[in-house]
Amino acid sequence: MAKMIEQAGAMLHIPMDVAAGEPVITVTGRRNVYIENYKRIVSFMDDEIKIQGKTCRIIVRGKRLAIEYYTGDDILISGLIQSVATEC
Amino acid sequence: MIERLGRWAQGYLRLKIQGYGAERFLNLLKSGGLGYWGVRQKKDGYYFFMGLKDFYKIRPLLRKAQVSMRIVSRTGMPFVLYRNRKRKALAAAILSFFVYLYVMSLFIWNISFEGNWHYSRETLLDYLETQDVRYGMVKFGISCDELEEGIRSAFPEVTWVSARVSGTRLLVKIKENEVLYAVPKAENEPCELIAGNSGTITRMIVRQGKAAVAPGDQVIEGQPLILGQLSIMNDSGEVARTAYVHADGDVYARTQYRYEETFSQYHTVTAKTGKTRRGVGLTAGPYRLRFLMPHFGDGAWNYVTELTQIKLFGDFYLPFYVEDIVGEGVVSYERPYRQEEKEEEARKLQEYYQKNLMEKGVQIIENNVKIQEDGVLWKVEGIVTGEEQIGRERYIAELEETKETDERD
Repeated sequence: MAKMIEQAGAMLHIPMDVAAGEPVITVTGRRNVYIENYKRIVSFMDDEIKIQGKTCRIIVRGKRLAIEYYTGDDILISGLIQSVATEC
Repeated sequence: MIERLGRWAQGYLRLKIQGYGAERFLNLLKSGGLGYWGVRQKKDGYYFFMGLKDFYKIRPLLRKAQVSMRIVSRTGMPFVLYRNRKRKALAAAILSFFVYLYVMSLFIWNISFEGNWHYSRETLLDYLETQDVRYGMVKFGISCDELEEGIRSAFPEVTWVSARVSGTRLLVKIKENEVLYAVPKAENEPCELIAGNSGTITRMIVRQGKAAVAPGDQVIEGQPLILGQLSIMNDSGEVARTAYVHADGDVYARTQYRYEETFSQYHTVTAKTGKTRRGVGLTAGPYRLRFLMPHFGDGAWNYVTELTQIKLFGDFYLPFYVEDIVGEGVVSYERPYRQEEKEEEARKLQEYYQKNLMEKGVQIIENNVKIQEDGVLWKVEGIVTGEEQIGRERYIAELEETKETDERD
């Protein structure tokens, strides 16, 4: 199903974040990570935040991590970012 | 900034939650459409901020996520008001401040003109004064339409005017006609042209009348140049009648002007000491408050004050002026003129006279100046040679009267 949506999106030139609800991760230097299309917060610790996206899980590691704000679709994480990883 | 101000106005709390379901609680807040920000994890729990409105809705979510909550701090206007609810004087002061602002907003505290080139601000202000429009008047007393009409009829060169009251400011925009409004009328009254100044005639053009002098003649002030009285002869060479015309023509003559000014050998020089003082002031109507940095020792000061009218925002001017005062220490002493200073004074005087004469329409041919020492004094003497139109009109009627008076004497 996901494959079909992906193919249909590619044919119609629709971006993947719109077609398949893929999360969009924007990292600004070592200070901020901005994630769009997230579903929920899986775990929140000072040095690691796990965010559930529609298709994968995003793991932000760092120091003094904090959630600056969130809206229905996006979330801004601040702190000293060390790594941003995804896992399925 | 605006967002922070909005949060402060609505009030917000810093909360601490503890328990295993903290993340779940945060997700529940999101799905419940409740806002929070600045989430941080510390050893004893999670800290975050939340708006006062949303705070009242979180109790069921706390139970669902099985977390305990504690209010760490309260910030914002609702809490400030609540804390100060018993301070009646403060409430009265804040209220009276707003009442004062409202009352102030009912008056005109600034009148500004735009586009006036021919008429000065003072002239226009004087006119407004005659129409009972002045600084400090109630703004509802101004009829902009009447004011516009009045300005248009009082100042013929004004072709377009717009007056409007914005905040506590009366803004008058003017467009002036660039060409002369009135066309000069041709005069026909009999007159003759006399010399307005002594000199030697260099060239002349007679358009009407009879020339009484010729180029090269020396004339003195008051001497007739073009006659307006023409004698009509009959065939036998006798004067049949006298016709009077409006004598017209250009008579140019070479004229001379002398000027001299005496100076003392000593003059006062003011030098800056390099010391400065700054200060601020406040002017409210006739009252003035000034705060200047203290200074030690004697000495004179030159002050430059910059006035700025206080405005709350946009066109909301208040009748208060802030003064920015800058003082410079000066010291004055007397010392003799140096040669180059004397030359400088002479040059200034020469330029001053030359400029004045040129403004009067004199074309400068020569301008000589010399410095003469005279013991305790020294003086600058100069002679300006120029060419100018010297013809002045004198009406014939005046002339006849003068003659009659002379005869009586």
